[in-house]
Amino acid sequence: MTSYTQEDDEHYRGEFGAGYEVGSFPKDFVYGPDDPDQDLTQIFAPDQKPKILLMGLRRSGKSSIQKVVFHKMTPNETLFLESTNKIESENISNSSFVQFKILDFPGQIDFFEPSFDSEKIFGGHGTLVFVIDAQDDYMEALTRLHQTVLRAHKVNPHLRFEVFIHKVDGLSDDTKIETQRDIHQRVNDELSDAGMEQIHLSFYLTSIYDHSIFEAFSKVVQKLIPQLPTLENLLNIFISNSGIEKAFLFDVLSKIYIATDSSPVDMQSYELCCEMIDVVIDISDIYGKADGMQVPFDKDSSSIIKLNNATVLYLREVSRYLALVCILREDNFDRQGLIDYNFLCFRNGIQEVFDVHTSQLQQLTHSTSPHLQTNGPTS
Amino acid sequence: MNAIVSICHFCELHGPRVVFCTQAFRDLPDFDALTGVEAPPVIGSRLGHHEGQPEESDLWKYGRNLKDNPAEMKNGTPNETCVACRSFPHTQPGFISNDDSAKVSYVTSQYPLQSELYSLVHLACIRSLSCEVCPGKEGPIYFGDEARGHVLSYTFFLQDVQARGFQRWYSIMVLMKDKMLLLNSWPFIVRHLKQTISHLQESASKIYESEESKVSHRALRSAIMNDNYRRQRVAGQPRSLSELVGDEQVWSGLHSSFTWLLKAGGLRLQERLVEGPPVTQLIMDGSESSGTNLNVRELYSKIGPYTFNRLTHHLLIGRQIIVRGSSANAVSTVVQSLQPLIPKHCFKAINFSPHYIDSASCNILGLHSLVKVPLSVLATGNICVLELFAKESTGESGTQSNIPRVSTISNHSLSAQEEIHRIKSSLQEKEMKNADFSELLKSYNIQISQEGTLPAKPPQLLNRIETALSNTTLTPATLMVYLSTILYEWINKVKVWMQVQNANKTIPPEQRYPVSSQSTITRTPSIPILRSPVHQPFLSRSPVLSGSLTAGILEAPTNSQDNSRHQLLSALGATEWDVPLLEFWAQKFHPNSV
Ligand SMILES: Nc1nc2c(ncn2[C@@H]2O[C@H](COP(=O)(O)OP(=O)(O)OP(=O)(O)O)[C@@H](O)[C@H]2O)c(=O)[nH]1
Ligand SMILES: [Mg+2]
Repeated sequence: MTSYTQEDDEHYRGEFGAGYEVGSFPKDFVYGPDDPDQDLTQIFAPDQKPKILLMGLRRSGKSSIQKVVFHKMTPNETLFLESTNKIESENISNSSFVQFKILDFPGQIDFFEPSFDSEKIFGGHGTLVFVIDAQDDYMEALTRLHQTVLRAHKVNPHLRFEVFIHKVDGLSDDTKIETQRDIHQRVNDELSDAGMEQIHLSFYLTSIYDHSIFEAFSKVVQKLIPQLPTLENLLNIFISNSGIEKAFLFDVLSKIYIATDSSPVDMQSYELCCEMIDVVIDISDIYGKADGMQVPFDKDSSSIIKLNNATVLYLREVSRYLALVCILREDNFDRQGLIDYNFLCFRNGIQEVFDVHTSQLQQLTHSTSPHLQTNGPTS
Repeated sequence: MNAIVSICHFCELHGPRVVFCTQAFRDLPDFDALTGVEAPPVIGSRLGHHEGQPEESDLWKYGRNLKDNPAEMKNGTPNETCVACRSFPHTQPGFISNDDSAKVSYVTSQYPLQSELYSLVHLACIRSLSCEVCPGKEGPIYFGDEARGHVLSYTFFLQDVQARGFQRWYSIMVLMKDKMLLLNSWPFIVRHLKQTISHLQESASKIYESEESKVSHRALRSAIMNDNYRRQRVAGQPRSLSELVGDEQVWSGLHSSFTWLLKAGGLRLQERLVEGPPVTQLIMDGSESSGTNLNVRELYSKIGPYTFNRLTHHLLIGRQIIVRGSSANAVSTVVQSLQPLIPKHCFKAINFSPHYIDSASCNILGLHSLVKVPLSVLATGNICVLELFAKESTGESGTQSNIPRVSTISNHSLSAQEEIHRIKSSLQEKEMKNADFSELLKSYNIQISQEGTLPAKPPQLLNRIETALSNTTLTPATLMVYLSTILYEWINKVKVWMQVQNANKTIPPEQRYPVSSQSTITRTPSIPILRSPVHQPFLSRSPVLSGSLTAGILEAPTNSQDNSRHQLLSALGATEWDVPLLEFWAQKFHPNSV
């Protein structure tokens, strides 16, 4: 008779703790193998990757968000998504800056029950995104949000909290504003009643039927990038010296922007840039040479689109799956040579950020000031 | 079978939920007889009877001495349910079947009727549907431990137009305290569950198709979505299992199926504590003879696979091995080198004897080549004679070769006793190195000169020994560990074998197994019970899972002797060819055990 030892039991017991991480959705959108030319610098050691926890009541739209943003699922296809029955974990490493783990939770299960290893689930560096279905009565969701925030904060005081007021596509503009105000009010009241004012929550109005979900997710991801201030600074220097109005650093695969200059973002220009990326990818997909890459985007990818309102969209590749998209006035585009030169400086600057990171994190702040040639006052 | 069989469902509203579960209840004395535990004074299995519910007491005949305080029970169970995660509208028994011949009641309810079992099943349910699952995969898996019980969980989907992903997750779990029993019943349980499940799936698919044929729910969902006016929930409405499969009787069908499983599973295998002699004494411990142990590999390469195969075959099935040769040193070394091949209790060796000694006293005997083996012994065929020929003479013809040997031997035979003594002490004092041994063997040719007929096939163990020995990548230490491990494995089989054989001797067969085949199971028809919500606090005890931890499994033989033997062998993972080995080893056990 084969003997079963206690070790087997040990093994299974060990598995349980980690059980929720086994497997994940079959990936219908697989990222290609690393391009040897393009150095994909690892910002985080594999185990310290930040995580994004998608939580919220059942049917609030967590899986839909994950599928739409990271798997290019169309919003309508989400109608047929199965209800999630276990924590689905997925590694996202699109580019050097976009590296994290997404955990999609089933809405029905209370993961603070003692049978779950809450340390393991909520520990570490990361963000908890709580999704609220705004088309439904949200009182239950708010109760759950409150509990979740308190308990997760207790387990891991460093966890960030973001609240997506989701499915706002069905609401009128007035209702949106009113809903956000109401939710904000109630949640903060409850938190201060519990004596937990120090916990900060950010609120976003989102929907998978427009770009709001990408925008909101961008903000969430940006907070996980330690070099964000440097990147923003670089972008500021770049646009002010090149006569550019707005510039976004995009993750081409998910269309979330990981940094922008410090001028305010308006939704329209963000959407415009998203559309531009779609155009570039689609055209390269059709006419580019098929070299096995999942997404036809490489070193030489660039594009100029002139709009009829005297605006130019200019896209350049920065590094693997990272693109810079700029919006500028047509007159300023006369000096394209200058812009290109500054762009090279900018790209080198980004490269230095990687290099510096690889060598030593501390020096990050000093060594990243690139020397841009100043653009003279434009006539 | 001491198990709880339950259906779990991943409800779209409430998550993983226990929907339905079937348990077996026995009266106390029976139960305790089974585990061999001294029965506490019977507090009266009918203690719980109250005039309030005469009907149910009559229906639930056996093992009804346990009853949880309903208030206490309420705490554990979820208060919020929907049609999808409910089988009965209450937490009391829904179906009861009584097996009068075995004095067992099979009771089905929404949740286990004891709160301590509820939490076990609930936990297992969460694991079954939300932790230990592969996305999109159906099929049986095992998980569990001593504290939370051992679980076989069979996951499956049922198609449903109303489900968000057009299918719903279910699982059937068999939860037991005894891992060995569970894993040994695996093929049986899985086969049965598969049948039950595919039946459910077929029915569900039929409903699905007929509903789809009326209107495409995919299109419907998109249409409603695009219609921007107050979007309605088109999917995710809970539906009960009976609605999914279109069969109002589905619950009673499942009750019968699970009852059968528990009953038949219990007939196949029973848990019982098997006591055997402590295993530690059974294998030579390395320290005593580590030097000589290693020689078995030398012997193997010296005599070649073919001779070794036959020699070891004889050895394993209890034939007497006689090693004959002119040199006492060589003979006794060969005798000792066989030691790692059989358990210590079967190794009775005499290194070098001046005269024949019968097989009762030793199963490995070293003899001088002049010493004759009595003809009567040869005639029995129960021996195998291994001859050591000195090398010098082998080149010559057979007849001549005997001459020099005779002379050498006559010299030695005078001092045979002394020689033996010397060798014994030298073996104990200094360990013989491999090199020495192979050096020693070099000057001999070794052959089998006489042997009884062997069974057509050797025991499985032989094959494994050979594989190990021929694997030159194993270090000597690893080889020794490996050999003793496979011996342990077979010692354990021998124990079970003995236990069953003894049991067969002591209990007349009719008494042991009143019901022997699946078709004869007596089952009273299941009766749905409508309960009044009145409860009385009863004595609480959980017989079903409080069984003792068992060290082994006993196969319950059926009426036919042959059949039972066959079943036993297959449970042991043994074949007909292993029987001589089992019997030989078992017979040698007797002095220590029982
Ligand atoms: N109108 C609208 N519907 C949405 C939006 N996002 C998701 N949905 C719909 O919401 C439903 C539920 O979405 P899921 O993503 O499966 O919900 P979930 O939060 O993952 O649910 P669980 O896995 O059960 O916890 C689907 O039918 C989606 O089509 C949105 O932005 N707007
Ligand atoms: Mg989901």
